[in-house]
Amino acid sequence: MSKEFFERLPYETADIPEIERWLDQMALKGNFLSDTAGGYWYFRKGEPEAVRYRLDAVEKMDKVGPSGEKRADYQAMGWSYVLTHGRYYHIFRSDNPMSEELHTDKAVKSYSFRRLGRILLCSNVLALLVIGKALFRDKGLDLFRYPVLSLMNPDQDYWFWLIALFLWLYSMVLEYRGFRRIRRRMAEDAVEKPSLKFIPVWKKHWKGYCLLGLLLLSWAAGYLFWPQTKALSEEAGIKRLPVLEELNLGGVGALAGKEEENVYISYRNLLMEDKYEIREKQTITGAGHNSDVSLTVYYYEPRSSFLVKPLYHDLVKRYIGTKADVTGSTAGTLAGAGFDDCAFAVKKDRQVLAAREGSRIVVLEYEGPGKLKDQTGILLELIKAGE
Amino acid sequence: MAKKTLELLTESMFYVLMSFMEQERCGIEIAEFVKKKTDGRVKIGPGTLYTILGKFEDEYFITETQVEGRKRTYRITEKGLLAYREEISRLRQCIADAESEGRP
Repeated sequence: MSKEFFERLPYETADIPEIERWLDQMALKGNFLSDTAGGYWYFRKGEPEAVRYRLDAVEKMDKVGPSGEKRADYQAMGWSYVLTHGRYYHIFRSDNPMSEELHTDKAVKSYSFRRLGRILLCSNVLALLVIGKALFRDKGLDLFRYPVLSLMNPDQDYWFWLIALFLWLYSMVLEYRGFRRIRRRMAEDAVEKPSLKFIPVWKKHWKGYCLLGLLLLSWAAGYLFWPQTKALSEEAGIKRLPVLEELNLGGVGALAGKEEENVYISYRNLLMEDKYEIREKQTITGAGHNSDVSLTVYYYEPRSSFLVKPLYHDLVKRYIGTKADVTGSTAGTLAGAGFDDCAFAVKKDRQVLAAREGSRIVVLEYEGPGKLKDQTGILLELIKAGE
Repeated sequence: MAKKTLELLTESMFYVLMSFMEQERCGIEIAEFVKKKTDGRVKIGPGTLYTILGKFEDEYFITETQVEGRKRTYRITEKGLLAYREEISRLRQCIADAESEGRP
């Protein structure tokens, strides 16, 4: 039984003339094509022979290969069917050097491969749409709606896939343009390269591979900035934070079984002096009954002063919105507030307050019986205490 | 671009249309006709032949008349005849233009 082995296709799927030449060269070395699976092409060892392999475009989707009539006519003209590679082309071989070329009219040959270009384009566009939809499902168009916030609050995976998507789109354009060049070359019957030396795909696109490598490296480097989570009680013991107990919204008691959910998350960010998040769930006692309350705090302190205002506006847009009940958009509007900027909204049971004092920005999301906007004085004091 | 090239008939396409002038033909008969007619000057490989037949069928230059086992037979349509005549006039005009310039 003859030995079978595989070779990685050293050319792009659409590079018809180069693939044909490569297969002819392989046959001269005694390697005869037996099967293909994506980029892996299988060969069977045999006696070296001058065999011609030619690629014939798949005109209509036909999973079982070319029609019986076509096979019979091709056979009668000296060409036997070998296999069909994906939805792209049928591969025929001729052992008889006297038989006519499979394609004798270069313009017609080029024309016959027009569908291949469409398949390449459509499959890429479809894959891009699927990935794009998955990518934008959760985050939507946040990047365009809150550009400064997205930049200063980067989601590592989101950015990785976004850049990868653009790289893919760029490579798709290059591939399609390359294919059009190949078709033009086929039609014009351009002088073929005298040498059978080929340039492997990785050498041809080394810039793209470098870019991809950099992207992967930067993605991996992102883990150096992985957020650190601590128990809230631990951090609140070190510095004063805008937590429920400090905000004076009522007597605070621990919520049974929820202690572990009270966390302080600090983010390392090159653009931020300080950035943290507090998630807290407690019980508040007051007016003769207990209520479960939750508070989430986002704290931002950009290093650069010119980023402060745009970031604050993005945060107001993101957490308070434009259609919500926004009150007190300027300092001093809220009772007891001395902030440079302050905005407040009530959304169903949730109260949201965004405030800016100098370069410090804080956003609070609160669900509970207390009145968050009455506590702006304490909040200001807490923020100043962190100086 | 290749697609534009095929807005005009190539030599192979012209001879394929010519092969239907006398009778209906199947693929292999067309290739034999062209080879014989041109004394082997114009050769039509199977890939070229099937691409041309597919294109002509799509553009309704030819139509299938009979399927006998694996053999399909085609005939030329009015539209195909018109295209063939237009190509002849164009070629005649080319020759006339060349002759008016004198023989080299």
